[in-house]
Amino acid sequence: MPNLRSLEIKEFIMLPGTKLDLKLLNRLTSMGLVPGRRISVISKGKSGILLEVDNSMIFVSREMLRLLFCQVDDRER
Amino acid sequence: MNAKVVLFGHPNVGKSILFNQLTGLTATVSNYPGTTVEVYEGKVKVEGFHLRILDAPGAYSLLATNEAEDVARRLLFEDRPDMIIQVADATSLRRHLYLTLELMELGLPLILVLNQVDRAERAGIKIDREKLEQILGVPVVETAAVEGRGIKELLNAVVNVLRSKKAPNPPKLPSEIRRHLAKLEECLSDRLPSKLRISKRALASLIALGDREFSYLAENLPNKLREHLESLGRDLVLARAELADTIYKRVIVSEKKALKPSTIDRLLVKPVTGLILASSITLAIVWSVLAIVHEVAHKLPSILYYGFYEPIVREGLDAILPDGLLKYILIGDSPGIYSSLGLLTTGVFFVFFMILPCLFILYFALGVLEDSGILPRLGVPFDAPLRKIGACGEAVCPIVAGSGCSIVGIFATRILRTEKAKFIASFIQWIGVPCMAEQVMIWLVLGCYGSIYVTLLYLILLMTTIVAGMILNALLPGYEEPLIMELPPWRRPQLRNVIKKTVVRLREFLFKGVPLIILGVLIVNLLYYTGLIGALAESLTPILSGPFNLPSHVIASLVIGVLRKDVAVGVLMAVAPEMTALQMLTAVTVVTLYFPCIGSLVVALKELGLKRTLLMIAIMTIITAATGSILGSLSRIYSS
Repeated sequence: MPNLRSLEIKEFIMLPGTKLDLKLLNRLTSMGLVPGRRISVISKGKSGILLEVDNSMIFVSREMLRLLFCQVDDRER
Repeated sequence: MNAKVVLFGHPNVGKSILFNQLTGLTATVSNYPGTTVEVYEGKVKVEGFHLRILDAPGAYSLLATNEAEDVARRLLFEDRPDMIIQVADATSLRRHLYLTLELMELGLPLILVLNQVDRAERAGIKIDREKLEQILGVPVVETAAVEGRGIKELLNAVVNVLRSKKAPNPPKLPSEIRRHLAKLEECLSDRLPSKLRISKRALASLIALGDREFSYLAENLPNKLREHLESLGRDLVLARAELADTIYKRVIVSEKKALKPSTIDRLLVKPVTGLILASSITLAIVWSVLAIVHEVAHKLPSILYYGFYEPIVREGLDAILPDGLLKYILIGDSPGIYSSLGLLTTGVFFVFFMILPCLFILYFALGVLEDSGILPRLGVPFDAPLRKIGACGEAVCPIVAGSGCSIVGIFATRILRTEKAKFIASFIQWIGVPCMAEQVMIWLVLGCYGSIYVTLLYLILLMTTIVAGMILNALLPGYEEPLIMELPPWRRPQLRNVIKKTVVRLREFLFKGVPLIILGVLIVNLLYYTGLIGALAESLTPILSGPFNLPSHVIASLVIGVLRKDVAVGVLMAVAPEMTALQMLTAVTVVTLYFPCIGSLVVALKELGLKRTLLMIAIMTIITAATGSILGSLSRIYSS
């Protein structure tokens, strides 16, 4: 399990590639959070991050971020 | 000629405003994702076509992730419309094209509406509409629904599409994906569900994406094909996203930043400042609404009811009707709201002099909160604390709606993704959030003893909600997916929309709530008239006067509380002289906790099912027994 602290979030994030759960991948992509695309971070806090996606604001909770990165981490292990 | 048209699109793109512009009918307009859970329908006649327009709940994709999205796609799948109007936000077109590509596979005539072009123009965003039309093979219309711009052009486009009956071709995905989907289509040809009315291509795509509803069709596929389904689904998602991006890049003429996040948005994700900010906003809203409501509830009755209404009605009926049952039912045998219990006195007072003015203020405030974008934002900081009791940030909207009326609030839990979250959000409304009408009565009845008792009641409700929620969260199976939520742009609420929404909600209350209030008053009236109240009180005296330390007359409140909680709290006023402040606190707590009102009970049965509703009632009974006994013991200690 990756350490959350290692998920240092800067001015942008790039969602992990194609190894996400399929339904989650569809959900994220349909909201504009396309894996591999550079996404600006508006604000970050302990509860989550606020992203700018095509002139819209999307809040992604810390747990969701952890889930996204954990899935990739586990599958790639 | 009749034609059915479905308005489809992401949440917060202005579908409902467009619906209002097209049909002239009232529909709720909301900023919160998925609020339009109920499907609104309107009619419009244009160039010989009688259009039946349906406003679908907001959905990001045809692969539904909650009940609202499921309702939206059912409108397309099972109730085959003559055409679809996809409403997209012109300021964020790329995100919407993914859904466009999905809709193009359905085999139904389609129009793409680029709404909010006014905002896009102000921001300097320009889209080549004609080129987009040409690439997609779908008519594209620009509108600014708020200003009524483009509505005529849209109706013209609808008529043209209905005349041609032309559906777009499926999007041009990479040949490898198309080949696999074609194979899948072949295998499905003899197994199409009879009630399903979408193209085989769309069905094949949904199966590739692992759609739960059609998973049974995947089971019978050849092994080789089944094994590759997941990778096909993955490729399909990414290919659609890539195609949407390519189309976007070809049609965008001028791309500028239209988003201006506010300081509030930036602070919301910080746990401490976010929670303080959200709590302050919530408290400020609730207290200011309550303060206005309290004033209205106090002043209106004294001026209108006591000054004009009651004397006229009482004197008039005294002169016309002889003493007897009818007169007793209509105006009771003594003046005063809580001692009369007549339909034309107490009943009319509750409905028209107290609850309706209160609800008008609350619903108006709720409309402003929704349209401005404040309400959905509260979900961000409240997500973490709500998760500790098994709910999630998205539950804020149903819970706040439930503070107006739990019937509306429980219906609104449909936007939640899991049964567990729905159950806990409904449960919180039953035990922790008295409806606004009840809160007004609480202030009137318990507030007489001092605001400290009202504060104590809220603390008791908060504590019971936290404890019960934590226990339920631990006991109930299920996993709530972490939050990912779109925040709508800040908007200045439009008075017209807010009033429309208020009127729709009040109308719903008049039809669903008022008959129950009148019935509740009638039943209590008859219980007194027949003397049955005495027998009931006697049978429950051991519990009421034992552990709860309450006078037996409180039974009237408990009986009426099944029908209306607000009326039940109001009726406690009749026994107020017999009770101390702590006893009144016990009585109000017991009335609030012991059982849901009949309206929300019916809705819960419909939404959650018998088993879960009975479970909630059982938990409420245990909580009532424990809380009532503790408060009863305290009132006994302090009175001795």
